[in-house]
Amino acid sequence: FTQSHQVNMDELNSLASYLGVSSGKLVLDAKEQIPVLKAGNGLTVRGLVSVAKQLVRQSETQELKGTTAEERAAIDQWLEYRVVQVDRSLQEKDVSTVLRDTNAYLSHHVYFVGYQPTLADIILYLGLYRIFEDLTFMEKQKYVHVCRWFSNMQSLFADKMSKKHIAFQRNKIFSGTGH
Amino acid sequence: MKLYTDRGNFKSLKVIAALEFTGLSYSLTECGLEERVVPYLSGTSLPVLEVSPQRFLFSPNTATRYILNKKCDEDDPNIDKWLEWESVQLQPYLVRYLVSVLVHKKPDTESLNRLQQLLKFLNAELKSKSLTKTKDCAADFVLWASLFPVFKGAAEIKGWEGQYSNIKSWFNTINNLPCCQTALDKVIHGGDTTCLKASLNTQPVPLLETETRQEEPVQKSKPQKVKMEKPSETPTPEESLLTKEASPEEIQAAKESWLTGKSKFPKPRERKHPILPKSGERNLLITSALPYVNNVPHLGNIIGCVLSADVFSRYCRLRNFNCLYICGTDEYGTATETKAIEEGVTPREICDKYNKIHAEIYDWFNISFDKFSRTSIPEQTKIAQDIFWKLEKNGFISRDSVEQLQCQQCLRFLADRFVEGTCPLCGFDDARGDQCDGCGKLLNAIELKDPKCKVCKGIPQVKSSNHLFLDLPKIEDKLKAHLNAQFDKGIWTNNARVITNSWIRDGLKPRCISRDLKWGIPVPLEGYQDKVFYVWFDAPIGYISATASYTDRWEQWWKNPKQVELYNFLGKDNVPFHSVIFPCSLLGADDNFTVVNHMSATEYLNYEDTKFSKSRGTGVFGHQAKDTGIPADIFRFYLLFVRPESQDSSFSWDDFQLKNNSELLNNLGNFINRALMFVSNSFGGQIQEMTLTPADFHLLALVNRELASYIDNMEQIKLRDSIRNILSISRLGNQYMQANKPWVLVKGSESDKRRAGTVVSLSANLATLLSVLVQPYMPAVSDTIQGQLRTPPQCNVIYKEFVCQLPPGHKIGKPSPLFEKIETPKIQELKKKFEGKPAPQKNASKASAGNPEETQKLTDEVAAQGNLVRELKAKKAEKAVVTEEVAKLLALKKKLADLMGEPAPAGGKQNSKLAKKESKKPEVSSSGTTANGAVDNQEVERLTEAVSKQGLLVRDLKSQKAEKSRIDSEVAVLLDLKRKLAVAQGQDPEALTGGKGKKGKKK
Repeated sequence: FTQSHQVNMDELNSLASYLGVSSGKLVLDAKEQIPVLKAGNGLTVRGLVSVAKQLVRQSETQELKGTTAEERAAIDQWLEYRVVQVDRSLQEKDVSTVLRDTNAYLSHHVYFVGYQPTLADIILYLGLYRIFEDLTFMEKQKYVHVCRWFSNMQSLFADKMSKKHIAFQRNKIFSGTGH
Repeated sequence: MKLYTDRGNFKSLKVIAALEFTGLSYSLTECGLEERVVPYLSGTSLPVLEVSPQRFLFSPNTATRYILNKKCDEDDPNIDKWLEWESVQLQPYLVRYLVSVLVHKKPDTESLNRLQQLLKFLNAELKSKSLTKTKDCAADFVLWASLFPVFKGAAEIKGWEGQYSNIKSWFNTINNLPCCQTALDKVIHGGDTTCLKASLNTQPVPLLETETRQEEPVQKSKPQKVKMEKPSETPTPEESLLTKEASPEEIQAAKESWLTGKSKFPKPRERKHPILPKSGERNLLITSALPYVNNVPHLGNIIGCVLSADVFSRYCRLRNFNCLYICGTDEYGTATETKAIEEGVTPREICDKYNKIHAEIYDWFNISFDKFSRTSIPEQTKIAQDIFWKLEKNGFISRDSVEQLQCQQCLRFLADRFVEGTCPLCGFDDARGDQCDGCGKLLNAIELKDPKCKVCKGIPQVKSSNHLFLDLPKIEDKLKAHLNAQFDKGIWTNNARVITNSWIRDGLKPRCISRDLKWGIPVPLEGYQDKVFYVWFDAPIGYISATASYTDRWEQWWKNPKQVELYNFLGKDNVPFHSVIFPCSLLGADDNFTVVNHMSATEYLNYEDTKFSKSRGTGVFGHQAKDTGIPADIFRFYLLFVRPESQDSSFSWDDFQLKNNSELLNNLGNFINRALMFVSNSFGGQIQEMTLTPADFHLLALVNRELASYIDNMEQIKLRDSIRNILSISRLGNQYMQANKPWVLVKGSESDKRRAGTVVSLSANLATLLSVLVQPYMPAVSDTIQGQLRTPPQCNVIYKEFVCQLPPGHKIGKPSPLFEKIETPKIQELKKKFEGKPAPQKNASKASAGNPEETQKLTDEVAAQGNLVRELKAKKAEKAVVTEEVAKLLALKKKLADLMGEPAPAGGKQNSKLAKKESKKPEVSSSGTTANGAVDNQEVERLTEAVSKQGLLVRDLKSQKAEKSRIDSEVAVLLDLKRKLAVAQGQDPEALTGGKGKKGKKK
């Protein structure tokens, strides 16, 4: 296992326990390093997003899937954003693009989609965790909207998914960088 | 639904196929390659589906699935799986492979290997012949669209059909669907996938899973490649453009056009007035928004319409299109009447005076109108009244009454500006009917206390007055049909589309087209004869009357929508009048009028970091440009270089100096002068025999590429981009001279000398090409170059290929430098001269509390925005526009107040009570500490209590030997509380947990 793939597996396992469903048939494809879920009835689901969606499907928390077609599409697109953009932003410039864009988006939205947390929020919270761990307080002040969202998400999910809390300042502590 | 895409983006295939498959109605908007559509994404990402206004799906896969779900809802995990496979696994390698083949012409074998593995996997999965149980689902369209470019055309993976038979039968089934064929027609014309090149080169390449891939040999060997393809503002000198690759076909084409192209080169068209449309030709009617007469235009006004339209029409003439460029001054309306009263003259005299000022300014800027007219001519009255009668006859004029102040002595209704009185909000006793100068709030004239007539000081009374309305809702359907067709095939800037759509979306309302004024076109209708037409009803008719004063056969232009293409150039503030109201008048009149086909709207040009302001004397105004001693062409060049094409830009003297010295003097001027001096000094001013080497033809191929892009950009009215093409050509020329060193060759052997002759003579021909290409931008400079080269007049056509215009034996004239260096002291002087006086500061003493620079900047912005709002009100601009600008003003004021530690003033009457309430509240921020960083004791107390309570709970749990997970979660809560407490006390929360230190200082 490379480290990031193990992280994906851990995420899916904690998601499963949060949703109260079994992730018993979840394995990592040895060759492709992709999580695979054998969901029964001959159905095999591959990939972080697909497995996460399948786990929600099997659970009783259907509201995480979004309620309208528009919401479901918006959730899908942010889930894709997580795997093609967030997970693959390994260089500093890509990381700051992710922070800048999500910050801009969340300056007008409480959650990524709609008016309550959805799977998009959970998956992005888990995905952005690695980036937020490394942020300085000055950077947290710079990306204040996505930090507000992240802090909100960790108060909802961190303990249930055994994630350590990341500290955020609640007031501006640096002058002259806000604008 | 609306799909935004750049031209030739293969990712649009799937979305269009899905749209066509479902038969849902949608519109397709073509964007520039690097256009940003989604406001919160900083990079380019196309295509984008706008599901409903301002709700975007920026993932093409998601968009495809969403569209199909509209028809038939599914929640199939197998579709999830395939879409994820496509985006995560397939796309990164697929795009890399396509870029390597179509852009770099050098297939990347590593990506190809990966692709083959992925195809093998897909082939195995397809043994059941379909991807999922659902027929024609999102997975089918998504994979079909991605695989198309590697299965068909220039980047085809050879032999795939034999290797992957399952894929083949699945692919062919999908590919044969009619919706897929329609999508292909729209994206890949004629199945030629090389048209995907530009988009592939601009759109971001999907990121890969690991960093290591980024250092692969293919990318490493040409790290500059992608960067160089894009126009770069200031290329580093060592960046060689000559080393760019050209394909053998390009080189062959360049060779042919150099050797034989002159025979195909078209002759310049003779322009004989009056110019009239000709059938079978491109007939372009180009208009620039009519400048309002009582202002002296500033540089922002000039680039906004007249100059932009001038460049475009000069370009059209050089392309031998049949075109006519018209403009004029807009003269009627309240503002002129007020100004006339102020100066104690008649409105007519005011207009005569200012029309002359305008004409002189445009003359100095070398604007080549075919007709510069004015709206106060008899033709205007005749045509406006005729259009009105037709609207009336067709039932599009309605009547209603409006409450207004009437002066009993002057016997007339008063426009808002003509009323003075006491502000109902702040009690200021010299408030105007549109706005109070005391508190700056916008007013309604009938709300003023003790209103007085501005002219006679008499007391006006509220009376109702009958007015005429243009019934826009009734014409809406005609308008929509026209606009939909034009949006599809015309060139419309994004802002023009957005503003127009937002008007239509909000629903059109009847608009008052009459006013109680004297200075205007009389309303001819019985019972309304003491009124005139609203200035915005008649202003655009000025285009028609200007044409009518140019030729009596004006109807050939204006009642000929089949043969004439109408191009409007304007600033974005004028968009609704040109795209909604004027077209409605013309469509409603139902007289076969020519209605707008293309619209190029600019954003705003700022001056340095503030706005142009007449009252404060900030910025350069038309008549002052001449006094700077800098030639008009330099102003033209710079204004076009910073043309606010897709966002606001600004005129900056430092940048002006830099662009003149680096681009004009050191690049363009240097190349042309150097080439000509060599011909003159070393070869007696005579063009030599030219024996071109393969390297020379390579240069020609690169020049042809820039030339093609220049034409393409001009057709799209991307005037900024075309300038960059010109500069790239002269940069190529400079590097060509540098690489060949004719100054060394000329001292060498006989054959070296011949080579030197070839190099400088080719360069002189390149200078000829440049003299034609710069003509739309810098007509006087173009003349000078052509004079020095003694070019034949036949060269003044823009042709798609570079041909030899100066044959061996041609004698050139005397070269001299084209541009002058602008020195820093000169720039400092100009900066100071046009800086203007600072805006009045009412709260100067308090301002010292905040950051003085910031305060000054904001104060200036507030003043400028206040002026803008006043102007808009004066011009009776559309309510929505005014409201928007007022909102901006309020936001600025609030920012200023925040900065100075005052409660924000609320604007507008409706908010005044609220403002008072708020101002009584002490300022407490929502966080633990107050805004200035002091510790909020209440919050600290609350948190301390919470921490001790949570501490007790944890201790209890531990002593009870509770479940570990329970204890852990409660401990986490405790730690969080402690962190919050630390922050509230102004301490470093990280110190608590022993985490890593932070970099910044704490205040």
